[in-house]
Amino acid sequence: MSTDYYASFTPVPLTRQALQTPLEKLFSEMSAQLDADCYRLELKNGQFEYTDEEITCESLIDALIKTHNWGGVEINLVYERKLCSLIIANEIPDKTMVVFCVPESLFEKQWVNPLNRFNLLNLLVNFMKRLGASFCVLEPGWARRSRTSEDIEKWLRDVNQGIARDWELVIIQDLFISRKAVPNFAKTYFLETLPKPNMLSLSSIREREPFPSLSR
Amino acid sequence: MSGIVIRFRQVLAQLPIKSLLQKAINRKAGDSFELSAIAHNEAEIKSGNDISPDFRCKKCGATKEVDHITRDENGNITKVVQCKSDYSQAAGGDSEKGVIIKPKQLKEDRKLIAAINECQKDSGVVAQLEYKLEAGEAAKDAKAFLMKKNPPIVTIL
Repeated sequence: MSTDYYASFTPVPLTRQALQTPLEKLFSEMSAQLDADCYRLELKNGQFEYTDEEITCESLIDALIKTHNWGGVEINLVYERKLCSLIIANEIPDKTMVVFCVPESLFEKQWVNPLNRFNLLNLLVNFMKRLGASFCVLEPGWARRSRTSEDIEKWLRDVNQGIARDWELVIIQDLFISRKAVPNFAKTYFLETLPKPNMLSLSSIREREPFPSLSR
Repeated sequence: MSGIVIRFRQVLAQLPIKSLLQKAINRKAGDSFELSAIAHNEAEIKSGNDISPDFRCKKCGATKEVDHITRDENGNITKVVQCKSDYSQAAGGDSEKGVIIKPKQLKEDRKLIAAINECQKDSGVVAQLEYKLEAGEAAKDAKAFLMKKNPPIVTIL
């Protein structure tokens, strides 16, 4: 389809090589298979752009090592028989951003069915915990830069003022933004408290059942 | 991607093109542009089967979905069409979002075209790859990226 969905996580103070373990666990949970092709991204006028450079890699660590001096890398993977990708890039000094991209058909499959949606949420929350990320934003398209706490705060303000936004899901650690700070915008987003990891989920679709424990 | 089979979507297969267009609900980013692109190629789209078909690789089992395909009167595929909407123009879309051309997708699309042409080589019909881009500032950069080498057909709508 013409639309891809991107899950952006808080830029974290980890080197790219330090991402190996959390990413390998993510791949394992997803039963994802790495694709050999990796594509170079570079920052230009505040946004990442693809360059013409590509390399083939044998493993995740191979990809992380070979591309350590690139501004960013898109690593492709096959998940649920669909071609997806993972973008790892450095925009903010000493911080690394991770963005996961899936095609619309896969997003729809995971979003519409409550069980699939729960599994998706579980996957994202567990990955946030491993990364040490304080938020995750799931949205159509990519701003081609890091999502920041300022973006989250602006989104909260916009939605509270009735300004339409296309974000489908925001997961926020409640240490980062407390439940009290989240305004009442139940007409457009549904607020849930995720029990164990002390996180808030603000979703464009309401969960039918309260979330069971998300901890593993 | 040799040995391609098309897995038709049963629900779409029941629907004529006009019915699909009438079902236009601008629910998701990109939906309205995709429907415009379908309308643009309507005469060459033979049935609902040709919208969002999955091509499955017999070797690895991975599927590749394209936005739509066009056919000649004998059913040979003449074009594989990928639509790229401008996310910044969607309802609630961030102004920084634009048209994103992923090089991996372009590479896979080229492989798919090669596989289709291998499959239908006896027909003499050569399928082409078309990228339809939603008009706007971002489309210019996207077109420039696509035109760098071995370019597909690029149509800005």
